[in-house]
Amino acid sequence: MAEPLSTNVTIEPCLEPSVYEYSLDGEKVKSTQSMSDHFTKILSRMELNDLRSEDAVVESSNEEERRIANGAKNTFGTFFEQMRQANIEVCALYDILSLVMSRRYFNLSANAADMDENLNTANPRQRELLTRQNQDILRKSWVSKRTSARQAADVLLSSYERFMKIINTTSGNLENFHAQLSNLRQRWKIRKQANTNKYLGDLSFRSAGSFYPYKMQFEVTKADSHKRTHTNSIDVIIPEELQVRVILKIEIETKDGEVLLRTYSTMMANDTIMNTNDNSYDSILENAQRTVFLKELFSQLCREASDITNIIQPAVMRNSIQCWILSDVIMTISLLRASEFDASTQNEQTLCGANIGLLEYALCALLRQQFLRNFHYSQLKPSTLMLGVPALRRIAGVNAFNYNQLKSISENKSILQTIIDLSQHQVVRARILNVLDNLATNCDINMTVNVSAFSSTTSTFGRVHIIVPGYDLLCRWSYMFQIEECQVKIQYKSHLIEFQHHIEEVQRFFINQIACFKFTTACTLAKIFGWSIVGSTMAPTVGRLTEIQFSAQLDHSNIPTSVGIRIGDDLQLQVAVRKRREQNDDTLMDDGSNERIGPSKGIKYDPINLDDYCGTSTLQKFEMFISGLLHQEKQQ
Amino acid sequence: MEPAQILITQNRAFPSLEYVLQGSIQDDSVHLLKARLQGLCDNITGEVEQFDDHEIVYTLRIPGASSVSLRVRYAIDDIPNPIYHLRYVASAELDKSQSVSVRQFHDCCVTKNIQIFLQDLGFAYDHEFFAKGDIFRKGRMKITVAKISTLAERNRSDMNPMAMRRPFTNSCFVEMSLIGSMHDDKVGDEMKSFSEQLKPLISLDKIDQKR
Repeated sequence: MAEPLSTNVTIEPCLEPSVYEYSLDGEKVKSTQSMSDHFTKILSRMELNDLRSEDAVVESSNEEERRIANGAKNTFGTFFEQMRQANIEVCALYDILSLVMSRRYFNLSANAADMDENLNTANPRQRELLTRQNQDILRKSWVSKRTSARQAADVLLSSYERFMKIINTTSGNLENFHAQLSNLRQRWKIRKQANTNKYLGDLSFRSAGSFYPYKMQFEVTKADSHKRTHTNSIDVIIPEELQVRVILKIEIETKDGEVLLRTYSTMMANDTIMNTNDNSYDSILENAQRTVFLKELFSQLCREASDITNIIQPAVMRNSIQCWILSDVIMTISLLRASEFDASTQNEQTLCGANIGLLEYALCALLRQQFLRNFHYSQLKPSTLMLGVPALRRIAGVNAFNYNQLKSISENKSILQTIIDLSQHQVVRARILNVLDNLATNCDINMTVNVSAFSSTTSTFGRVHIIVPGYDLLCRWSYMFQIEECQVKIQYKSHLIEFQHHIEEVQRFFINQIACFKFTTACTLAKIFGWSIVGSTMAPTVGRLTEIQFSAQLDHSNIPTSVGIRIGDDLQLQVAVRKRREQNDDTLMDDGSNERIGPSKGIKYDPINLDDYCGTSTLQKFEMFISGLLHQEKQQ
Repeated sequence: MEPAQILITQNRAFPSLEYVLQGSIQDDSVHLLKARLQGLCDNITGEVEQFDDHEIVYTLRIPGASSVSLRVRYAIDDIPNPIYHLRYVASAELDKSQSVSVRQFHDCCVTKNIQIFLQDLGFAYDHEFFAKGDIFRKGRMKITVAKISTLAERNRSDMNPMAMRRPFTNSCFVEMSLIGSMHDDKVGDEMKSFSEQLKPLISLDKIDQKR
């Protein structure tokens, strides 16, 4: 805070003539009379306005003069150009005047308007006298104007010589040190030190709220004469530790070595190829600032790693942070030097990475959030509160805290925690969607997964619809699922089930539901054809969640055959038939033993191969089968 | 020694000091000052912090000794449960060497029932006012540009409190303050040099309240 608060404006010596006036606190202090003012004065003395009707050259010169007189606050460049043009025009004017004076080729006449007036009012003799008088006056005025024009020409010539001198000393082109310095100043904050002749700039993000304690000053100097080129006449000196190029590498791997994400970022928006040959001062500075950013980000992450009390604390090793984001997934964030980084071996793997631009944007946003927190530690309500100390910490008693304030404490997440949360969610989400995808492709019913557009980075909503193609009016089940960070909630038929970390459970749940769905559709279809369910095992117990077994016995009042249907782990519908026995044999005991349809125990069923029936899906084949049975019975 | 000062020295090893520069500016040129401050101060979010406070001053008169005043301030827009800020501000020390006025300062945050508590202790209501305006921060410094107004009539709850405010003057009160611990010359210089930046618009100065 000890640095001076005033802002010094420095002006390069060669730009000084373009300062028209400067004022202090709104009060005009000094108005430097520039060459253009001087020239304007001389031109005004020439009274060019009288000669408006003479010819086109004079007219344009006239305009030029007015332009200079009006817009005297011109910059150096335009002023130079104007002077050059004015010079040409004045020379032309001078030539014309001298030609007229010698009276060889031109005949002068007075202003057309004046002549007409005189001709109308006077007789021929007086007219002649007037013309002669006019010519005398004109001649006198032209002589005075010629001397003025000579003076103007002298001014122009001397200024031309001065310009040539300046241009010659600055190596003959416009791309000189000061021009480049002023270019550089448009992008970087550069200050001229008061006593020494040094130009210093700052690369840090301090003005944005960064508290990163390292000094990151660079110095701008004139390039050595042997290095100097047309485009590069300045040299930047940056601290040694910022001369390296660094790369942030992020990897997410499972315990088995499967790479879920591997990406690296140089904070160069889209291009990952580093141009090490580009040694222009601009790219050097940009690179240095990127290095500053990555270093600051990484040091912030390292500091936060020690604060996190996850199940397993993130481990910081030399230049990498390792943290377990799920029980079997590890994330590694490492900061590498360009020399340590081998791009060729990474190339085929980087394809499975995230969108680099998005990642870098997110990292910038996170660090900026941290900066904002540095600045906006507390809201001053009331305004007399002390700066820097949050009011919450100074309040008296428990009653003083309100809900919003308590919430705001818990909401402050560190950068690393945010990254861990996001990646946790991404991994869980990708896995759940993958499971649903696999199920949808491998079962013969129609399973649609819709992910809601209102999903955010840490919560995903969606629906799963299950229908049998062609029978969608018969049965249609839908589930709502919600993935909050790493917790999965599924809602169906007014039940809400929560799963934590266990993707396999979710998979099991959906397999179960698909089996149940297939079974229900088959039963419903049979009911439409007049069959009744005499016994079934519908709901599997929780303990036997791993074993899926849905089976039922179907009877029809007109048909002496019982049909058994069953769906097992393979999710295939199995159908078997047997002749129904006499009425007294068909006891409950039998039904109980009939539930398990199998060759080993219970009553013998004859399996039916549904592939013998035509149909596009299993359900259609089943429909053909039961309707076939009915048809047979009718014929008999 | 003043009783409040004894209190301070007992409670804290280092008494807090408030460094203050004050001034005022006409209403019609306030926008210029605000624009200038916005350019000079730290505002990375780009928006100006606003405040709307109500301050009530309670005084305890001790026979045979100087009276003690305590200031209770809360933000009207800090709903539903505003923080009440209790302050003790001593009169400014008349130190010729200092370029800013320095005063003893003691504060804490309290809950709403402080007003009843103070009255129970024997403090009597002295005066009150409303301050509404903008806060600017520059490093450790805090600059407030506030319109000071008073209630037209006290203890009338049937009217809209906003409508009952009556501004004292047609100018705004500008205060630059910094809370430090010890006598620090650098602080004064820092504040003075910043106030120089605002010079043609407003002249911030130390004000002798006793005069």
